[in-house]
Amino acid sequence: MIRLRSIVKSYGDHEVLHGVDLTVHRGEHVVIFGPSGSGKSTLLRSINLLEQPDSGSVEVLGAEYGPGIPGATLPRGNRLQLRQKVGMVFQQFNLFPHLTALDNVSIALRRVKHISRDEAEVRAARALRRVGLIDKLGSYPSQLSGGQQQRVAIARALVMEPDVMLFDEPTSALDPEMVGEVLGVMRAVAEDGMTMVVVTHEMGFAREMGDQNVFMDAGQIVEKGDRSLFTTTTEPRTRKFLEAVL
Amino acid sequence: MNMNWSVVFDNLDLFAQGLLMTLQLSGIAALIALIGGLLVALLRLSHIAILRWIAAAFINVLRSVPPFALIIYVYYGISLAIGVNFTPFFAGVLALALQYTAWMAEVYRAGIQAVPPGQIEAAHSLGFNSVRTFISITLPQALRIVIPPLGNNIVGLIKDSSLVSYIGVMELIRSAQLLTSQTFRPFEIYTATVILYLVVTLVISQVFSYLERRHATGRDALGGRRHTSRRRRARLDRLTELAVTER
Repeated sequence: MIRLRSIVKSYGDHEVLHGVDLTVHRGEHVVIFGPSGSGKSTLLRSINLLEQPDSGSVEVLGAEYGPGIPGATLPRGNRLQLRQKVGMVFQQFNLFPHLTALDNVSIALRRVKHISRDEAEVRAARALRRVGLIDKLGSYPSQLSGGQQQRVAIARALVMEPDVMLFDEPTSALDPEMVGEVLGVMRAVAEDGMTMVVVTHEMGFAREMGDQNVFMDAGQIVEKGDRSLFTTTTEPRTRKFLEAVL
Repeated sequence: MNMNWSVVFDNLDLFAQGLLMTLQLSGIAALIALIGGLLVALLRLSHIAILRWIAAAFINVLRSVPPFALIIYVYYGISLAIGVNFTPFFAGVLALALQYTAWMAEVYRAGIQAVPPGQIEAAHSLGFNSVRTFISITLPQALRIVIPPLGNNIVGLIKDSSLVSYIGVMELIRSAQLLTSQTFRPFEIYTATVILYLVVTLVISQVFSYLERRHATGRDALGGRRHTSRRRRARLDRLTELAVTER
């Protein structure tokens, strides 16, 4: 469903991704972990083109959105359409502070998908119920806790009915007591069969939900594997990282 | 010193006319500057380098000319250069509008740049194009930020409009000068004039601080809670009920 090939990305002289390959299948839950500055977020953000790779192929649902691979014959996709199929949840939530929870969730339905206000608000209310915030429709982000804000952000992405959801360290900015409620919602979304790519330091989530666990360091994928990776890895860098965070 | 305030009360109509002219002059100039400033700010932030440079040049030149000099320059200089006779009122509006367009462009630019990049990323991640992102996400937040400095600029504009008296517009100061030359009562007349400026300024400040509170969000709004209309409340309750009862 998603195939990243030879992704290279530099900021100035500094190359942060050195030709990374990653394949995500429909319904799969991919967890990307690794030390800060390893390029995890940049890789994730290149899936919906918040980062434009310098070279390599970003193939999503059969269309090419990146610079592409020489000789490949995939049809080119439009980035605005790509983003309607790919939901994203940010570390800092990035809710729109001038809009209520309901408007945060319904605005893209109305302005991007051109759905009527009545219908958009009904769908937004349903999405907010799904994340346990049906009683907060009229609340502004500043009136919500961090965990509640992140759940609104998840609802905002889910309501667009994406084919895949990207999570960029969704619990890193939260107070410890709020991590659980957000992970709980993510687990429920995963169990509904949503394809997910999650950058996180929550190894518990990875062990429980991760079908494909990817360890990145210094702009490269060091290794990937299923749940057994955490117990059987012999790669010294992975072991060292896991020992430090577990 | 003996005072005679009847010179003020006997000539209230003159003060009223002067005040009205001051308000028309600054009102029209402010309206142009509020819209023009936003447009110039957009040019200033454009992706196209030449548009950015033109906007920057416009802003820097017009901000560094003293308002008095600009009024004279427009009325005597530009009208001669292009061979069109400006009325004093037109020249005054034009000069004030140009200068405050430049000031307000910088205010808008700062406001637009103060909106966190994460907001734009979030909008893009939902499929918003650049124009839609600006209209629905960036602009509403930027406007909220610039309400107080725009208010300050409008107060400044009203005060600067007194300089237009020099080219013969019968606004508040010009009216006061005329009355003084007939009655030799400068203290009473200028006291009344100053009070009128004070009243106008206070009203503008109050309007803008109301706007600021009205458009604040969440906890900062209207001393704790943002106003939700009864109709809106009922709509939210219906949606809640709908979402809770289905399935």
